Amino acid sequence: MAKSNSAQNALDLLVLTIVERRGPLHGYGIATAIEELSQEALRVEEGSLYPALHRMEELGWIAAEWKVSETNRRARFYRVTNAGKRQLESESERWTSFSAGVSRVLRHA
Amino acid sequence: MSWFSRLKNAVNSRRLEEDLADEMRDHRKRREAALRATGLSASDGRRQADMRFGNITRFKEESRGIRLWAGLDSSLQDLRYAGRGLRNSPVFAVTVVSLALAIGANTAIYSIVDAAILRTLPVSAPKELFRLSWLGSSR
Repeated sequence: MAKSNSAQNALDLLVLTIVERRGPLHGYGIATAIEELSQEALRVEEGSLYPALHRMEELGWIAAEWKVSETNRRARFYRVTNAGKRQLESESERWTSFSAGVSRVLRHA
Repeated sequence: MSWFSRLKNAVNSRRLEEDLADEMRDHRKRREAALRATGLSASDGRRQADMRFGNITRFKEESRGIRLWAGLDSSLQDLRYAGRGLRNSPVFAVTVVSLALAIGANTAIYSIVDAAILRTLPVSAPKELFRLSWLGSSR
């Protein structure tokens, strides 16, 4: 389907992790969580989150539902599906070994 | 996303349009409120919220493309997959095709018989129907 690149994979991984650990979240919640957790090191255009969310929804990794939020506003809440959990597991393993490999090279070259 | 919601999006694209606009507007409203809470003025808050969101038209277009066509795309994939499967097992393919033809022919014949012989005409007293026709002009 969509072409995958490492930036997109990384964003997918972040979103899946955050939604999985912090329960149903709307897009804004996900954006602020990424920002806070990365201590503002990862700052992307917030809007680019939405095509990514919709793509993952299309792949069946997350599911969305309109709900009224705590501030009495309607928002689209995302949660991780079972397929998404499997994807998260394999993708985070891949990421860990990838970054371990890179840092080994950086240290020992 | 289920087949049903993809179909709904394709049929009711205005609804999808509103959905996308609502979702992204909600985000910017929340960001704006958060920025206002740090002491920014109303216009500065809105401007910064818009800036941090980025090109909203582009994101809407991307999302629209994903939510409309991805379903179609994957259904084409399914079709191609089925085609390959059939090609790999010709005996099964012949069985499926002859079954399809037989069922189709049966259905066609039965619907003709049903319409022409079994069903009565859709009026209350078919026997009282007359057919009028012109037989040339004698005067």
